[in-house]
Amino acid sequence: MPADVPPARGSLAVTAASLAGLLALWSAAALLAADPGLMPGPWLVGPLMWQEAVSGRLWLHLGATLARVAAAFGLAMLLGTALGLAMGRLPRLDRWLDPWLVVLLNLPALVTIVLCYIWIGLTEAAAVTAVALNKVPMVTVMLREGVRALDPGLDAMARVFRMSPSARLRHVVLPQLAPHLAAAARAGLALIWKIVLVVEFLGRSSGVGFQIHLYFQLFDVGMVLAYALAFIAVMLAIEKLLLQPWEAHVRRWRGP
Amino acid sequence: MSARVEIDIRSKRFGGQEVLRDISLTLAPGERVALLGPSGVGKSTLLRIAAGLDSAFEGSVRGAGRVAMVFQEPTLLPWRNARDNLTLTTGISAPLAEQALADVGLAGRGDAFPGRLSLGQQRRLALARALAARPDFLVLDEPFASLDAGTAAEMLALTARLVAESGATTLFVTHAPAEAEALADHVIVMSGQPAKLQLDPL
Repeated sequence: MPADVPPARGSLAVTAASLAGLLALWSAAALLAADPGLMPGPWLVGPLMWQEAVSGRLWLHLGATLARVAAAFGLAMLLGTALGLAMGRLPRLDRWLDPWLVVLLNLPALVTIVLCYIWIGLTEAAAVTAVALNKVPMVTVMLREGVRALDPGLDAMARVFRMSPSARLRHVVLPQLAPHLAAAARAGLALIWKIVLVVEFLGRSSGVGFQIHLYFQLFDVGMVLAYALAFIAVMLAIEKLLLQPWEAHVRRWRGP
Repeated sequence: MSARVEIDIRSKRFGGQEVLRDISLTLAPGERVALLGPSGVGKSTLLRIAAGLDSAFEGSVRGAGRVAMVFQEPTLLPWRNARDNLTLTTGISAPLAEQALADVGLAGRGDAFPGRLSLGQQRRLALARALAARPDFLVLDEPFASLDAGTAAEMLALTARLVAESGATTLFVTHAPAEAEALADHVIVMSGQPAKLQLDPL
């Protein structure tokens, strides 16, 4: 296991410079386009974000979207982990379910969303189900790989000492799966929030996706960008403040 | 605290290859038996069957009761400290775990993660875990493998003392005759293909 390379002192500066470059590119494009309706610059989008934040609308819609992300994420991780554990442990089940997994992996998100809305109705449950269903096969595949890589020595140890199934899961199996869970969580979050926006675009009356739909119909590019950027900022904050500290916590036994 | 263990293996195969045939071994309560033989003869296979880890064979193992095992590798939970490695696997309390650590010369190391311990210390911890389970039947698979000569001698003396104190019926695999004689009441030599047992006249 290669040691985790700590971010070099200069890397924060590079990140900042890189983001400043992106901002500069955007500003240049806005100046060249010379049409604030089509391509508003950062100096126009920034105040729009501020205005939405002060009015409270931004928080309302961010909150609605985040709640859906959280619900779909939790559901997908739970189902995907359970399925991945079962398929990794039981080769017969794996042979039977693997083709289903391949079909689901290749099912376009849009199809799942449309079908869920038609079959379940234009409800919150349909929205969350559709997003979770898009994510479950990926979690399953990643966890199945983790289960196949479980240490047979530790498994034998747990059996000899007759550890209870719950103790085995908690202290023997899950710690070995932690890197796979973290990878699935990270990839999952990135995928889920994008699909949640589509779900909101197509059939909800709140959330960032709904706002983008609204301002798309009004051809208000500034507001579309304001909501999109606000949400990207939130997801990056979650990654930095929740996901990365959790990964560091589960890796602490590896030591420096 | 000790069991009369009857191991009766008519046949054990891996694929088409028969590795064990007509092996019958009875250990009296508290008896310590060493299995001696060259690498690859099937010692570990026999041990796994005796410990109940492998049930895909023709025959039976009776009377083993509560089993504990010291594996060829220390096989610790690397994400749990030394104390938790004892309490989580054997169910003993934290103070008893500290005592068990002290018994194997790891006093005060309860908070150390296995990765911070030397191989010799990891093997001591694995031994402490097996004894903390208060087994009726103790199975040891080359517990001194890949230790340097000095550490191995120390570990051998410690193991001999603690195993004798525990009174558990013990089956022990090694390829070093000196280890076998130091630890066991009887030495059984395993050889051939498929392997047969033979009481060592020593």
